[in-house]
Amino acid sequence: MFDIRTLLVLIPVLPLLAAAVTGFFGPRFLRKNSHWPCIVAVASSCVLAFLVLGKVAHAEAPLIERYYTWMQTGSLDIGLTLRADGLTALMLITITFVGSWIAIFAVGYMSHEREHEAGYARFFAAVALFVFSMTLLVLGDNYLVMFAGWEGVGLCSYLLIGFWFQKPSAAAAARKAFLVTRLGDAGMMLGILLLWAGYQYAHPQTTASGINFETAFTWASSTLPDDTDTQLFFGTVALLLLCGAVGKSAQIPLYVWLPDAMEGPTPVSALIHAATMVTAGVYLVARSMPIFHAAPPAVLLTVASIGAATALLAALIALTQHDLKRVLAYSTISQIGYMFLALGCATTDGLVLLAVTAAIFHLFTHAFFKALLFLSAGSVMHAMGNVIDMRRFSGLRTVLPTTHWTFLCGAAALAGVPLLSGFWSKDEILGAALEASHHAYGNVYMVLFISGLVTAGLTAFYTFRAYFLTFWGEVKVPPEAGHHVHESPPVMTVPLMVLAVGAVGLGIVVQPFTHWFGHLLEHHWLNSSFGGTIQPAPHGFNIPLMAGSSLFALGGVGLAWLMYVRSPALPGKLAGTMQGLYQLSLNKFHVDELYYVFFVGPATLFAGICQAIDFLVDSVVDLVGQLPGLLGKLVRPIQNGLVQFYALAMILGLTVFLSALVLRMAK
Amino acid sequence: MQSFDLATYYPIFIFLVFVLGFAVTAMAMAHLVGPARKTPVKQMPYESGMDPVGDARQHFDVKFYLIAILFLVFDVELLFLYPWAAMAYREGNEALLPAELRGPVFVVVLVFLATLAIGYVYAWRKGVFQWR
Amino acid sequence: MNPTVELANVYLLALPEIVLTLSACLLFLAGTFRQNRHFWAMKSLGILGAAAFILALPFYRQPVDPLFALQAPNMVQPIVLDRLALLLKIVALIGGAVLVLFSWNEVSDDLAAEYHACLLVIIAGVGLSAMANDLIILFLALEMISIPTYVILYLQKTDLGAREAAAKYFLLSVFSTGLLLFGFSYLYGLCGTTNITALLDGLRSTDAGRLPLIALVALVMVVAGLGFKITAVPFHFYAPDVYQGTSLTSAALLAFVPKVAGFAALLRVLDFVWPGNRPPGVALGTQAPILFWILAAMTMTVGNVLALLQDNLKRILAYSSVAHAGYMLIGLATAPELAHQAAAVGGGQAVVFYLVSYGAMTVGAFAVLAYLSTPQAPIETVDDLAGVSRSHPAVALMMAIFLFSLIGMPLTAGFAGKFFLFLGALEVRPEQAVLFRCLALIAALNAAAGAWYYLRIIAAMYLRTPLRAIDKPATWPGLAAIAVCAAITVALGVYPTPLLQAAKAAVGQ
Repeated sequence: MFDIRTLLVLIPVLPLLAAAVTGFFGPRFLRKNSHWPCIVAVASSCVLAFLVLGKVAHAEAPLIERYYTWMQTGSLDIGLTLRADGLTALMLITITFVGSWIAIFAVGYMSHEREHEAGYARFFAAVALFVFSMTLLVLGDNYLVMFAGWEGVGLCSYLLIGFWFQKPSAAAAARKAFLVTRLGDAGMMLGILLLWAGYQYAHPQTTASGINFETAFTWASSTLPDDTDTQLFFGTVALLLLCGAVGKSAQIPLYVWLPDAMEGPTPVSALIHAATMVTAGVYLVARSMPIFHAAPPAVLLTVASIGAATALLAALIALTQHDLKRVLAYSTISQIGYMFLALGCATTDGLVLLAVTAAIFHLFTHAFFKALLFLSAGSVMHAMGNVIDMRRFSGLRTVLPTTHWTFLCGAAALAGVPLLSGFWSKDEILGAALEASHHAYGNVYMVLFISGLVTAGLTAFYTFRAYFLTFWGEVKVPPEAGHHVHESPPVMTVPLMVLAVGAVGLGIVVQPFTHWFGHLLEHHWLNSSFGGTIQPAPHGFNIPLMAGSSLFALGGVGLAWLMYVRSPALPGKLAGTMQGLYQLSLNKFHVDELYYVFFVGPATLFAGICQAIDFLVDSVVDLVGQLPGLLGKLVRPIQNGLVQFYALAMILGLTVFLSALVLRMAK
Repeated sequence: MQSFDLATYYPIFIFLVFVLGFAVTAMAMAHLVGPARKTPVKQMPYESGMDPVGDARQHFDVKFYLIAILFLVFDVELLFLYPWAAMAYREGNEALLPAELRGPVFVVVLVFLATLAIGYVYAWRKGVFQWR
Repeated sequence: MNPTVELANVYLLALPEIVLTLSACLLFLAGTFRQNRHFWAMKSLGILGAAAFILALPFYRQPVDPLFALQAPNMVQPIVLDRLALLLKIVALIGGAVLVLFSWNEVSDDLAAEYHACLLVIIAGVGLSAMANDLIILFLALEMISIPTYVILYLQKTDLGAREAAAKYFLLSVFSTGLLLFGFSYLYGLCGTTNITALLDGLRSTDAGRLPLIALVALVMVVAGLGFKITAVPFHFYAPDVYQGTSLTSAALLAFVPKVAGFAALLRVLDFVWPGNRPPGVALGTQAPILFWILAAMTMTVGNVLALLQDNLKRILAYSSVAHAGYMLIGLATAPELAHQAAAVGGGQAVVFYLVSYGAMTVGAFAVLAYLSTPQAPIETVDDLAGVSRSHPAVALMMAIFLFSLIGMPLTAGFAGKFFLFLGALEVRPEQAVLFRCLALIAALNAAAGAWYYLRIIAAMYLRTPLRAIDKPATWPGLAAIAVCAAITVALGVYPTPLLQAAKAAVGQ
């Protein structure tokens, strides 16, 4: 129907148009219908994404289309180039499919916003812009186009998290999200620039641009094993890129923005935490895998360690949170940590496919069940009058039957209950980690594997803790909910049911038996990126591992059942006996405070010192200004003392430069 | 390159001597010949017509400065015109300006004069010459 | 060649500037007869248009030759119309038109003619300083910018703060001019000529790295003198005080015009312009990349750190202009290194590109503030902008574009500009690589930190409820100025290539 050129450009452009239309005409003309452009555009993009998948599956090489030359001078030639390969197609489908349902859900969820028409339009414009940025990010064929989408995602997250700007906490959270991720982006930009400059230096006669994926990856995968200089170079680039990924994907040490991002409307949380923003970091590392692979193995170990540590820490924090959305937020951080762990396992040629498939597969299934969980939590919130503290409601399974079932599906998938989608993808990750423990840094990977296994148990526990606290026990409804608590309207429950089906069934269909996923990634992406050096992954199941991880998952579920349904007094007692640990976890291990002390503190201090110096200078200047005043009986001060000081400063600066030059010359 | 010879500057020295001599002679003659009646007004320090009583740092009307600046502008104008008039049309060995450039330089001088004229008219229109 | 013809040719090159200056004289005179700001603003737009027409005239039949270098490669020619001059003259004319639009309703009726006349002289000065190939012409051109600026600073606002600002600017500017002249006199003493081409050729012929000490002293003096114009630390002190005290139009003027002239002069005098027939050589600027390294690092850090503390919008923008000067100085630091390795984006090229981008976004931001201000309720602090997105959605959107561009978001001019500057710093060849990678790191951290204070403004506009109603009636000239700046900001971000290549042709490689 469409040729690939139109197809690729339409996928981001449709949401962009929707955003523009909603932004400009929404408040005046569309009013209560402001959701239509966004939903239609994202859904159409989704259809187009499936068409792209079809084309990719039949293509031999990645489909690359250059639309126009973005910047060109000398040997710098960067085009607005989009590409479609296995990875892009899968990401596109995840983003647009989940995004469409989230947008539909938002129509019901934001219904009370429809009274304020400007806000309603603003919301859907921002969502459409978000989808645009994210699709641009995954479609870009060079790092700069990707970076454009990347920053766009940051901007949209700022707009969406701060949507309810009347709440000061929302405005603060939005700013935190933007600035923390930007800190990582600074590193990423340096990495991109360094990559370009390095390529230019290594290939003086070239006209190719080192930040084009093909060029960079061909170079990276042709690095000889004994070429340590180049390996170190790629190590530097990889670490700088990792900065960006860590910021965007909320990993240690830059994860602090994500839990606060709960301040946005719940569909936004679903969007940010499931389909789009946080997955960008995983996508970046996966996309740059040839570079990470060419770097010394310690770099990949860093990726894996960051991932495993984040997964464990976030899971521990999630254990004790009372806010349902916060539990889910920490679980997102934890699950993204899993994906990083998987990516970090790609230490040998044989492991690349295994590791990347595991990570992207988990990204895919996670998008479904996490979006489902967030939307279900949103449905709960909607019914409870925006109360989200799990201590204030319980026993909702009779009150909200549909939401109860969909939440259960999501929770079971997240917990890794056997045969559900989360089980398969988590299992692949653990398998990859286990496999990696036979190669470089094997002992460390073994530790990471065990911590992953423990995290799996913790995940099951806290997920079902939230589930049991919310839906079991005696019926308790907060007064904010009003008199007639009711199930959400179909516009909200239908997306829940669709996503629930995906969360339960998709995993088993696409990978473990059919291997569609791995096949798509291998033949339509990795082979070309690595120049054919990667080896196919072994098919088959590691039965002991599956049994073990099932045991951990079911154990966690069972423990949660024991503690929160069977004998609800137990958690209190336990918390009492382990007071210190409980408090530590409840206070999120004081990481926010540590950050305050170590980063915000010095910055304030520095600013304060500058102010103090300013004050000192002012005082000195005042004194200088007073001196003529004292002598004022004879000479009236005709000039402001400040100007004299300014001139003095200029002269001092000049003198310093002059003496430096003279000294250098003398040497 | 000619070597420096102080002797070539003798007219300046003659001029200096003449000026100094004139000043000294005039002052001496005034003292010797003129009558000396010491009235209080004459005993006051001379301050260009201002009353030398009171604080020295009194405010002067800004008009003084405007007039002074306008005077200076025309003073400087003459300062530019005089050497040009004296030098531009010398002939032969003494010529400082190539003959072809006389025309352009003349135009430049006209532009210069026109600029000053515009400034003058501007000041006039702005009421600089109205004392109140 | 016949001297008359040659002189006439030289004057022809400066015809747009002559037209501007003559018209300015007429405006001064005629302004005493008619006092109407709309009338005079319209007239000065027309005059700028006429100047642009005259500038374009020679290229009507004959399109610009890609290797259009020095139009007459004559050593004694005091002004040249090379591509750098051409580009900066176009920039000056467009900038002048934006400033006219911007100040349309900001000047009172009785001072409109004088204000616009001064503006025209300033624009002529920028054009002339871009063309100057002689120290004396350059100096005169810079004074043609400075002196009307003093007048404008006094004209527009006469409260105590504004007078203090004007006096401060005047005194320090005169002081810096003294430094500049001192440097020029050393250069003249060293080479016996004031012609920049001849002078640089003289310096080039000396043994590499063995420039006499006097030349380096002159270099430092020139950099110090021009450093005042581009607000490089430690010559930046006046900026926040003066911007805060003076009117928004004057602040915009000060933030943009002296930077263009200052960087143009630096590029020329330091021998960073290598169009076609002049290969990069060893002359003044090549001797002191470390000087610019330090200046750049200091300037951007001080600007960004001090901006963090401010609440006053004009002070924030003042420190932001200091910080952006720091980014541009990176280009001067890397220019000599990059010239010898055929880099993709040369230092001077990136500077020229950034100048234009910076001008669009900064003047735009000031124009937004002026557009929203009324004499009774001026927009002074960040709080005053609270909730603007609801009362003026379009203007708020464009302000957001300017601020995101200042932050350096992709698809804005600010991103492209920073990208080229940082790219240059990372591209320096290995002998110096570590040094310049450090500079790029400092710059990247600065850019990240800078986001903080710009974002505060955006947050105030979008995420806060208005503290007071802003009910300024819409005026089309102000809106037009903002729209032009926004269009340039976005266009340079989305498609920077034309300007980038023009900049390359301008400074050569």
